[in-house]
Amino acid sequence: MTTPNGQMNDDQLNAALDALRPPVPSDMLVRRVHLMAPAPQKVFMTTRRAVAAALLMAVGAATMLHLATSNTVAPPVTPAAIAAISDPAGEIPVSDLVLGDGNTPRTERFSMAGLPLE
Amino acid sequence: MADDLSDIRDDELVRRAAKGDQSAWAALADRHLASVVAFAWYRLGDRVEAEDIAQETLLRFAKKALTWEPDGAKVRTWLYRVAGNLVIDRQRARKPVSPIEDIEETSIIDIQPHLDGKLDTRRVVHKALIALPARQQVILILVYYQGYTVKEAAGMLAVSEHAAESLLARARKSMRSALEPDKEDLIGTGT
Repeated sequence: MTTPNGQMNDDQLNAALDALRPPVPSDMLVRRVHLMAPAPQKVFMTTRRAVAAALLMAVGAATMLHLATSNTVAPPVTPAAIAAISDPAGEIPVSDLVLGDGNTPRTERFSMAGLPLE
Repeated sequence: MADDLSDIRDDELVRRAAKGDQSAWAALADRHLASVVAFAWYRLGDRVEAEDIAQETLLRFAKKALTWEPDGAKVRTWLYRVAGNLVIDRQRARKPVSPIEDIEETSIIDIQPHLDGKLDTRRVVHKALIALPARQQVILILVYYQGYTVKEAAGMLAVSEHAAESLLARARKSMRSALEPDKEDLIGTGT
């Protein structure tokens, strides 16, 4: 029945190990575990809310872009004060009269008398 | 309800459970709960503690399920790993004063002979099992009681198959030695 050295043989050891039978999980444990189901993260953003939020962000971004690019409120464009320039001899080129605003760089130099310099 | 899902793989059940499918979670729990309870019970020898550990293990798994990677560890392996760590925590908590591993002092299994003078075979065997070194204990539980192959157990213990075989042989040898004093009672009642 035993091994030559007097110890239990394999069958006897297996029989002894077989004596251990684990407990079945209690009903209470099973119920508790069933209640532990993972809670997926709730989605608070519905489609309609998402669209509204995107629209608001777009409007906000456009506003910010506009403010960034137009440093100040641009003054209304007014025609050059042609009437204020006296040119009875017609010596001032028409282009200077028409584009005579402050923003247009002059390429033609004039004398103190207003005559073009050579 | 859970029976309908019995053919579905663990990873798929986890995926469904993570999306709020209660029946998938129930099927998953029913599939693994008994094994986890048994695993903890074999190692601790106490049903209440085993159920506590199983509950904590499944609770952690419920959180883990939300980020579960299908290509990662198998569910059962993950559960055993967590349960094993919790078992170690319990074992440490039982002996906060003496660091010396003396299972005689820490085991809660009280072996007392019956009125007729015979020992309770289950208690004797369980006490011997709990007294095994942890790795021997685990591989014996996995292979003998949980039905894993040596190769599968080796994977779960992260050792080579050869090392697992050696570990199992040592576990059986240790059990024989531990049961030697009660051999006559065990042979008389067990065979």
